[in-house]
Amino acid sequence: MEKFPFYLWTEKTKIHQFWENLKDNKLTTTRCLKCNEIFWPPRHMCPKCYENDLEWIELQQEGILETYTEIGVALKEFNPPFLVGCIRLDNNGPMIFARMRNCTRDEIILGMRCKIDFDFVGETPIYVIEPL
Amino acid sequence: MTSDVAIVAIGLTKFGKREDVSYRELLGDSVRSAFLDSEELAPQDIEGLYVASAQPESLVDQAHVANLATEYLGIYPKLVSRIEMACSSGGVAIRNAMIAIKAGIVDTVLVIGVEKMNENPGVAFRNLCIVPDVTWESSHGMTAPGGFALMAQLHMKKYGTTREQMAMVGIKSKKFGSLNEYAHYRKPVTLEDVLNARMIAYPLGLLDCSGISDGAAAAILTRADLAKKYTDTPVWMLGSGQSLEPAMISSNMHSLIEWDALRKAAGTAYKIAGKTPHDIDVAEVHDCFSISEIIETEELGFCKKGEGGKMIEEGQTDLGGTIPLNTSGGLMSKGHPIGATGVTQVVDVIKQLRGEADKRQVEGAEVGLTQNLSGFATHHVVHIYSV
Repeated sequence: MEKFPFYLWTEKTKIHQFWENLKDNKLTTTRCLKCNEIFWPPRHMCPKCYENDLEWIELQQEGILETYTEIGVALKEFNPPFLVGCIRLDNNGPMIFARMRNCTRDEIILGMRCKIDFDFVGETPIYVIEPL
Repeated sequence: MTSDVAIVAIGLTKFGKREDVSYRELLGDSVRSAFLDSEELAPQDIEGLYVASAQPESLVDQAHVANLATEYLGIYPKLVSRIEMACSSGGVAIRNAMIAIKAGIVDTVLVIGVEKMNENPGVAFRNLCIVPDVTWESSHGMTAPGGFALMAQLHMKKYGTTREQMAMVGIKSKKFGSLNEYAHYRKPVTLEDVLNARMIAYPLGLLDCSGISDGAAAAILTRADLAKKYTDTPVWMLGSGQSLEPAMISSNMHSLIEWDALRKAAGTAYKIAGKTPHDIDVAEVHDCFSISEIIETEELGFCKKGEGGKMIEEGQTDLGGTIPLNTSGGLMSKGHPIGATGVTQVVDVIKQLRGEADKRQVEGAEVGLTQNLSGFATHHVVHIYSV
């Protein structure tokens, strides 16, 4: 994939910092400074109390693979087939959905330990799941 | 029976690749069919109109379709709206029509569900890919079957549901599709066909999935005390429920195979209707994928949690079983023209309750249920009906 088929953010939109942090190999989200709620994905307002005084926090980068699939038919920009999965980050962290790489379907076992890794599509920073 | 709202007419078009009609002709045909169903109804009786249509802007280059419909049909209702709730648009439109009648705002409401996907099948596929959260899901390559495949993997692991059981849902679906002249996919399939079909999202193959269809359906709802004026065979809306959860698949892993939102929506509908799952004789459920029907069998209370696979294997969801599901062929065989789906479910259940389902008839069916979902099963709407 050379370029994302979707519009995601610009440098002017509120949570562009998330992608800036990805460039530094950091997976981050927002925490509400009023009610302390940590939520994923990051937002420009707290979904609990609607406060917009938030701070960026770094998430764990390892966890357990909860489920996965191999997508055989997708938008052509994604060059199917490819693997996707959901990883539960350690210390009761959030569930992250992303593409998986450096593994084949036969090597995957539900519950296996995985990590978040970082890459670029063109100039767009992305996060992916990789078995440990 | 206590009910404020009756369905007095139903209309349907042939589902499939409909190159012979335009969007408005398809919509019009479903309404003509509904008026042929009740000789006493006249267009001027229609006081409200809801058009369930999910994607006409990109599929057929037409916005403002509810006004297009009133113009094409020559009606001037005082309550008009298009309903968009992705794959559950039709079920929501039926619910809103019921609410408008209960509120006393209108007496009689026409609900149309319509989608014409095959003019732009590539666009139709892309549109389904953007029902998930584009920023956090679609941008990673997520697809509709991809999300349900994540569920299938977990259901197989936790409850021991097998690939063969999922395939049996596809076989049953195609059997009913072959018997339904309105269905898009009419060729029966074997276990081998399903297991050897092209992989769409592991473990779901092509014959575990609904396709890209054109079609329209219509239903006319009215105040219960007016029903007999329009038909000798009214069907009563006994109860309705709607519930949702966060839209992202990763927001709530528990919900991937325990569909709490469906349990809640169904619970509300059962309670209002004064019915239990055992009272339901026939149901049209949202089998967008084979695994969906298995999970719905459980969450609607037709069996214990985790036994959905066993139900299909034992034939309990087939004709002659404890709860025949999707005798129309469902989304997987009759077709899934997005906006039309929730409305055609109502049409098909009513045919059963009137005893008009021919070779697919569930003998003596008196109480029916429809369940329509959207997103990764994060939003559900359930209705219960009786004759």
